[in-house]
Amino acid sequence: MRHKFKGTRTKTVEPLSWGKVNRSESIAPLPSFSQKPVASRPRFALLTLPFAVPMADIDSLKQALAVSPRNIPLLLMLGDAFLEQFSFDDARQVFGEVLAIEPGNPVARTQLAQLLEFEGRSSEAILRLEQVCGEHPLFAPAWKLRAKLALSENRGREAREYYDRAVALDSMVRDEDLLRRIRQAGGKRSAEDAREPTPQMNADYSANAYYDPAFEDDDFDDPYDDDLDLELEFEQRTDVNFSKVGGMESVKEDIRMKILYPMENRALFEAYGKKIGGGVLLYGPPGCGKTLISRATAGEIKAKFLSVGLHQILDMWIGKSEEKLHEVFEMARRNAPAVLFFDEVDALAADRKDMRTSAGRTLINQFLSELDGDSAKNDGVLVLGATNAPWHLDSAFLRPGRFDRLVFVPPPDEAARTEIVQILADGKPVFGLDPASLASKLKDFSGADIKAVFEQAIEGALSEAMKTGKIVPVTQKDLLKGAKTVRPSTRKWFESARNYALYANQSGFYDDILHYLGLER
Amino acid sequence: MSEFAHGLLLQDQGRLEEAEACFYSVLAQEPENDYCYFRLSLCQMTQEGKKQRALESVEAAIRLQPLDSTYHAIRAVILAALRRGTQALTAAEEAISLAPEDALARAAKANALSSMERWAESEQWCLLALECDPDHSMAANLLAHVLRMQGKSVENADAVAALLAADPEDSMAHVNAGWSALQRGDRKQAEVHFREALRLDPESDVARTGLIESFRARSVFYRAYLAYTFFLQRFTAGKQWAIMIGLYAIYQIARANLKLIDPRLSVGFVFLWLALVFWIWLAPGVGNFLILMDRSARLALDRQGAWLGLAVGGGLTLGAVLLAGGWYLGIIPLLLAGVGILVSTVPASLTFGNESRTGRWVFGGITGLAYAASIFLPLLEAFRLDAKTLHPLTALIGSVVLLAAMLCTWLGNVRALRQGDEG
Repeated sequence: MRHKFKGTRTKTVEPLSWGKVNRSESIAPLPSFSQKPVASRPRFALLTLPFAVPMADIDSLKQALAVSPRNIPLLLMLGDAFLEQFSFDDARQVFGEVLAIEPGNPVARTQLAQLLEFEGRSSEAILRLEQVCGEHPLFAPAWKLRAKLALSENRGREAREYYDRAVALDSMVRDEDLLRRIRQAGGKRSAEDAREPTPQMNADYSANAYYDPAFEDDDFDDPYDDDLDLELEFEQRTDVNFSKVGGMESVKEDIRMKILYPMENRALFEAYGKKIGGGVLLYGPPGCGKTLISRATAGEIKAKFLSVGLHQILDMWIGKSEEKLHEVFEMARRNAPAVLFFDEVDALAADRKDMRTSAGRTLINQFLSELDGDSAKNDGVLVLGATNAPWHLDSAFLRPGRFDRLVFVPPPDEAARTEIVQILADGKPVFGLDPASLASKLKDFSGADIKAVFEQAIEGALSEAMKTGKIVPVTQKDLLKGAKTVRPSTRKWFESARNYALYANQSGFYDDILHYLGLER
Repeated sequence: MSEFAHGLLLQDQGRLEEAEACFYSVLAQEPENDYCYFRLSLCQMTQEGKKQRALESVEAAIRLQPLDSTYHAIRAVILAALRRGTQALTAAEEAISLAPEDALARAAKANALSSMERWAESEQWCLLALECDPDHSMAANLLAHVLRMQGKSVENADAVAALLAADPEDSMAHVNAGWSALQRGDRKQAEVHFREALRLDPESDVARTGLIESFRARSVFYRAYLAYTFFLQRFTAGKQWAIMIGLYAIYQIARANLKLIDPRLSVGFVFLWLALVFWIWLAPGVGNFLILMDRSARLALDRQGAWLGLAVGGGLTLGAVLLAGGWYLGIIPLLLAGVGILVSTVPASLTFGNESRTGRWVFGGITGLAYAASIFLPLLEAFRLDAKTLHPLTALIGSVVLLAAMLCTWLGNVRALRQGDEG
């Protein structure tokens, strides 16, 4: 029996995806997107209301597809159904089939970007979304997802810009919860700014809240344009510190020893001729809080924090990427003391043996030069790099003075998982939750995996709610059931990491992994 | 950086799934990009369970650009990996017809012939490929392999030395050197090469398999088993069957003749034969059990390997202890349990790590039956300790399990029950 509860605000729970096709139009093919969109183009047959379509029955969809294998709306529904069940590989395959039939399909491409985001590959997701938005500027769901991704990187104003554009294109994508979170991250319009000034973001970033046809041109990198638009902004004062990060005590202690204490005892270090700053590499499985702990580190040392994504540096024009990288370092130097955080640093610092093109090598050489402070001193600049694949890093980056301090960020421990469970349950109709008990059943789950468990349970409750027409709470039992269906994504990472730690650990680089896996010899 | 360039970079880094996603994205924009399909197929062919998709991708590239010999050559390599040797050979010949002097096309033909265990012809085509390009890594590695498979140890040693001299950082060259050392009985040198191969490519399954073999070869009995398998693998599957049937016929004739001389000789000979037959099946499991005893070496074993060691090596040990205890103390149920567990080790050796789903079900079912009999029959006899003879059910079930275990030694030679759908 489901529990009734009083006083809980009825909340619109967002579906995992917007790839649903309106039932009344489900057989009609989606419009082709090969031409430039015009204002008169009909709205995309997508729904954003969570209760409009019941959870698709995968078997019946498969049966329907057996009869009509090239039916794009059906394929999209099947892909969504797989997404709802967290069968990411199946979903990816189905969306791939859609693209094989209709290569430009924005729904499938956006869903694939969503999949990448689920897997913690945000930069790649952003790159793809940029393409989708560039080619289909009237496709609201892509803008909305872009807003979410910008928000996840704490670029509030940018997120607000994308969100406003999505809503202007299609009011059905409106999401008050997302808007609230964007506002909290500093994503406010000018009028809102006047009412409530936000000290967190750099004020010189001007956001255009409404759709501007000329906007698309902004994404085009003109090699002759001297002004670098890095789309970067400093957090002047991050309000996240270690107290806001649940659990992960060993990681925090590691960071204190390797970063914070040297900075606090600057004079002592200088007396021994040691430099303050330098580089620290955080590595570990995806979705385990490397970005959060980096931001918290900046909060602890009360430095400005600059997060740099792969998409903000890599440029198709020769020499432009190097220029952008230099500018990023210059910004950090101008704003010292500052923490410069490179997410997915392995892509910028890849092993040169793997490079076929000299362009890639030049960027790596530039990065090494910036880390060494060849053109200007890096005093007061702490460079943090995060990677899921430390084995792909060029060994030159690990030499003294560069990323010479390593911090292994393992999957969240039980305390951290408990905290994550509490945060995820906050504001949702969850009944009888025992966070500690649930966390104990989520060993090896990353933060993203725990989120998937919640989504799974919520989908189940939603399905029930759609049948009964009433709000059905999510129970501990639902969450435990969800935990059984979601496979911890960290295991695959550890399979690879184990091999590197066992066979390619001559320098002791992977000792922490061996220790974590209990494989010390 | 364009999406395609990013995909190439990821592929070069060995981040194949991510590269694959990039290539799919590029193909969404450029569905006529045959080279992208080709790169996609290269990504897929080395990923577990994706060879069929790799074949589809390279065939898409061929549809767009049917005159590119490289695409046909890679198609041949994928088909060989899918154990479709005849088709692989046809594809390789198509590649050669388009580019007769292309080293890759010739190497693809050598590879197809190798997959069909036509070692001598494969060797010839490897040499022809190396004539076109003396530094062709695939042809050079394949040549070392086919020479070893033919038992040409001197030529193999030369080929391996040349490989290592050409590129000491080539993981596959060290794998070849490791197998070469193992075949000539130098297990320490083999271990060094396999470790080096893993240092260079920690995710190389072939190198890890070789390392495990070199660990197993610490036992003299296992080395004898390896010598037997190295001897057999020179021959094609048909010839291997002929050898086994021939050996069985010799065994039957010898047994009958020995019985005429002295029945005890015949019994001893039967036990010796059975020990040899069973050892061939049990050796890898026993090897793994010994590896499990080594704190360092056991890290090389995966979960299936560890289970194999426990089920076979552990089963043999436990079974022997129970059998000896039951016999010494005269406790029939204990003795029966020991026999049951001993018998279970044969199907268990074919269950864990078996690539074939059907094979896992067949041998796993027989293993389960043997375990059930090991529990049920002793319990049945335990309630009738006063009886002079065994319960008829004991005799019946015991015989069925024993026969099933014996049958496994023949079924184990059926490739469909040992190998997966993909190479």
